[in-house]
Amino acid sequence: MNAIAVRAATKTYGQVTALDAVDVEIAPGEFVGIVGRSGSGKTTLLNILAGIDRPTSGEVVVAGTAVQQLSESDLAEWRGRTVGLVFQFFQLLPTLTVLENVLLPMDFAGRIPARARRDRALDLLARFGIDDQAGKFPAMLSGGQQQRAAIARALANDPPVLLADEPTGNLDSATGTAVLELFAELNDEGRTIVVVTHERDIAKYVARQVSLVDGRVAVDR
Amino acid sequence: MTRLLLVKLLRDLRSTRARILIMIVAIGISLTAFSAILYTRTIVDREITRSYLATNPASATIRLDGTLDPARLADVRTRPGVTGAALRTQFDARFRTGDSWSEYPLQTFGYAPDDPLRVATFAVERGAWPPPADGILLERLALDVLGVKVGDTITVQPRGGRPATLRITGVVHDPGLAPASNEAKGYGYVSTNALARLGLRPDLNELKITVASQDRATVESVARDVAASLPVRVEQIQVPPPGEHPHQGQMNAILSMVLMFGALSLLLSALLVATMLNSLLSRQIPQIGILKAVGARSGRVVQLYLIMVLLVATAATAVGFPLGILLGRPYSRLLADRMLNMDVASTSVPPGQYALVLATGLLLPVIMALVPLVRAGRVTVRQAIDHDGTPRGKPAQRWLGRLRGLDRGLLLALRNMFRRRGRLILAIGLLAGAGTLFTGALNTLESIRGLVDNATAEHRVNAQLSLGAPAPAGDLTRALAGLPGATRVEAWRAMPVTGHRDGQVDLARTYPDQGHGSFRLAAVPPDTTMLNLPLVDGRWLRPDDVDAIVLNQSQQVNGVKPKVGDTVELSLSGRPVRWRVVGIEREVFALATAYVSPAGLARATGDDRANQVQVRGDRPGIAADAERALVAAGFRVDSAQPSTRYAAVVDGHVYAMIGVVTAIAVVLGLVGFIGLGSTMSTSVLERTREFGVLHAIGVRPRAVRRIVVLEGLFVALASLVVTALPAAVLTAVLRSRLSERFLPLPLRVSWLAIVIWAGAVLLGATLATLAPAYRASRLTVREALAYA
Repeated sequence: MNAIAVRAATKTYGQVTALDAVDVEIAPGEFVGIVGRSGSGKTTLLNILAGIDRPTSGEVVVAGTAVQQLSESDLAEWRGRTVGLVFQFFQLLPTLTVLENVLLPMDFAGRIPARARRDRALDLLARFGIDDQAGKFPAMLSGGQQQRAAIARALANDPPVLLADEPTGNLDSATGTAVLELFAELNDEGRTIVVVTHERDIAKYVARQVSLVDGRVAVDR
Repeated sequence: MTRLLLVKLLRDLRSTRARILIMIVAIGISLTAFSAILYTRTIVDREITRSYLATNPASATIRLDGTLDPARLADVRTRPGVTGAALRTQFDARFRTGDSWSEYPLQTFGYAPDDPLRVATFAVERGAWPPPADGILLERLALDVLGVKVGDTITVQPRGGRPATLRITGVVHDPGLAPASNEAKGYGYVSTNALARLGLRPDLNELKITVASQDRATVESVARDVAASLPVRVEQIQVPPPGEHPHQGQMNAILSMVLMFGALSLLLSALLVATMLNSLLSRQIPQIGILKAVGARSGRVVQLYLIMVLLVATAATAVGFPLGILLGRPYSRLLADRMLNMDVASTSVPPGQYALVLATGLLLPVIMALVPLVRAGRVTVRQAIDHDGTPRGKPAQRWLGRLRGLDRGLLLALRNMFRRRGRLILAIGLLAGAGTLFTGALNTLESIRGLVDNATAEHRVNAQLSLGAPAPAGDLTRALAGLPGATRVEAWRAMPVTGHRDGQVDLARTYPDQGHGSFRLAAVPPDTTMLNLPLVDGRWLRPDDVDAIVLNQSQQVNGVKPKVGDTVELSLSGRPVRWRVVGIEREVFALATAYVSPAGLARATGDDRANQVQVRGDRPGIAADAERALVAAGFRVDSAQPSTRYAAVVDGHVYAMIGVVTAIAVVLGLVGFIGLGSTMSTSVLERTREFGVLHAIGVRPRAVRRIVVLEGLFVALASLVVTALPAAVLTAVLRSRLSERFLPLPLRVSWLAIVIWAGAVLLGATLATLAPAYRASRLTVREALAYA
């Protein structure tokens, strides 16, 4: 079974068609880069995969769930368990510490036993080399550190799918590279990863690139 | 609610503590005002009845031409419906401590020394009862009014009696009477032993009865039955409204108006909370998006912010609830003491009212917050992450987009104003609401002041002299012809009057103070210049009128309000006389008076003499000089009152109302200004990032400040325009309600209130936007762009 299946997904905003009958299937454990120019529909596709946006027509199945059929609240719960999201601007909660930011999705999903949550969060932070920042607030961290914290948070509930929207867009090139290497490492463990990016060097890390032009899949290799 | 969310909540509260504190203060102040007023209303309403009934007030007073023997009095007590009876007397007097008579009259009540004081009683607070033959006790508030103290010796001269020296031997508290301070007069209490010294017959000529029923018709019927059974002639029966203190209506009017303002100010602060919460939530929307992105359901998000509002509401209630109780108690005591001359026996309030205040404090902010809360909870992750407050083709924006030739800064400010329609509506609504209440309160204050002005303008009299015996009008005016400073002298005749019913004794609604509820007839020269009464209908008296009468608009005759063209039958000392109503006037403060011509009164009574002299001439001491001139000419003068006493009565009746309305205006102004400041500064704070962008593209800080301040001024101006209509409606409603229940108020607009409010809103908008705009303009581009 595919990890992700997008069938004839179309998304329109008024007169504008952002996605035009897109078909994409992604197998479990694949590391896929979605590339394209500004306005090509990359972010819209990722948002539809994450249940952040709904397709106007078509079907989106992620980890066996038909995403477009879930209510807004069910989507939030599903997202918490099934997909980890990484954003360009990190989107950490400013009034929670780095550790608390990682703990929060575990509290919402309730999948990890309460006793084990703190250790797991610290392990994740240690894995990304920022366990010494655990007690700090996001504003006190560098961009690279914040993005690592965001990735740690995305992995909090050990989701099978990791979705990232321009994760390196707000980082310098060295830090960006480090982040992409981190994704590659996570992919090696068997996690399905989809990254929307402008990064030219993405080919070095991903096995497959889906290139979008005007909301359609132009190249898939 | 997870522990982490609670941590986030507390830290969010801490990071916005200034705004949270403002919310708490605003709700706290309003809740304090509302609950203090609610408790005061409950306490005073209960105590006024309890305190008045505790004096066992006479249900009816039957004025006799003579007196009754003890056997007859005992017989009255056995009449059907009668629960108690006592014989009393009373007389009007004037007094002096030095050489000159006081301008304040001394109404004195006389009792038999062995009177058990069960009917229409009073409490002796100092001294012994009964007083000696040369002693008098005074009502406790009267001591202050008259400026005397226990132990002082005063000379008292009753109307129709002779002056005698009495010593003040004690103080009584008589809560059954309208307070001496309101009426600008004194109340004295003597035993019949003192009457002979004062040149009065020792007859107790007032039979006071109590009736179990509080029904007016029953009381009247019992009183008439008793009157019919008496062996002496009955002059008049007086039945004041049963069980009702003379100032009950006035108090009810004050308290209901205040309660209405209290409730409106509470609503205003709830609106303020909604406005502030809206902006708080608006800043939280990106975070709501993150929460949902990492798995939070809408319910959890709503719950989080609901708890935030509840915490604010709880803190405000924790402040307002005890403060309301703390303020309500002394406030009700103060009103009871100053307005009603009552001691409050208990300041307890039914538990239901405490519950109501608690529920209002806790739930009203939550209810007001519900809409923005649910809306914020429903925001999708994409909407939340995209959230930048940019308008998307709203009609106002499209219309503004078509405007040409406007200064670009001005256009930007105008467009900014419409960026968030909801916020704009709330901000304008809040300012307009506060402005409406503020100007409404001050317009009412102006109307009350207008009432006082009118009352002064209606009576252009500087001295009023009452004669001991009627005298020809011409003789009187001649005697005062050379009075220094007098510009006009008129001789009048005044006498008590009641509606006449065939075969029945005259029945009046007069209270024992002989002022409230009384009705008198005054014969005045038709060309009088002493009165300037506004006519509501019909015309004033003409010299050739012989059966014409001009009545007050609120005057009832035998239970109906006569109209122009009606014929009314009045009883003058038991003699029925028919009058044709030619005019209706709206005099406010004088005792209820019907005006006829001297020729008319002569026709009715066969006597054209006068018993009052009115003098105009604005010179201190003119009343005393006029009295001396009259005495020198051989007339007996009972009292000579300067117009200052009339002004004191007017003030006495409205000062509590003025104080209360002023206090309300201050509270409303405070809540309004808090709202103004928070609304304006929030809208600037929200856009710090945008200012960074403006700086980044090279706009000078001064230009940014100008845009921001202009926007604040546009919102302020819009709120001023919106305020006009509801303020006019509120003013009209208040005026009509108060005119119905208190006194007929003139329509007045407080231009000062409008100028103050407009100035405060415009200045407040400038200052409230300038400070954060200045701060924002000093941020570096990087800092501003990083601003979350």
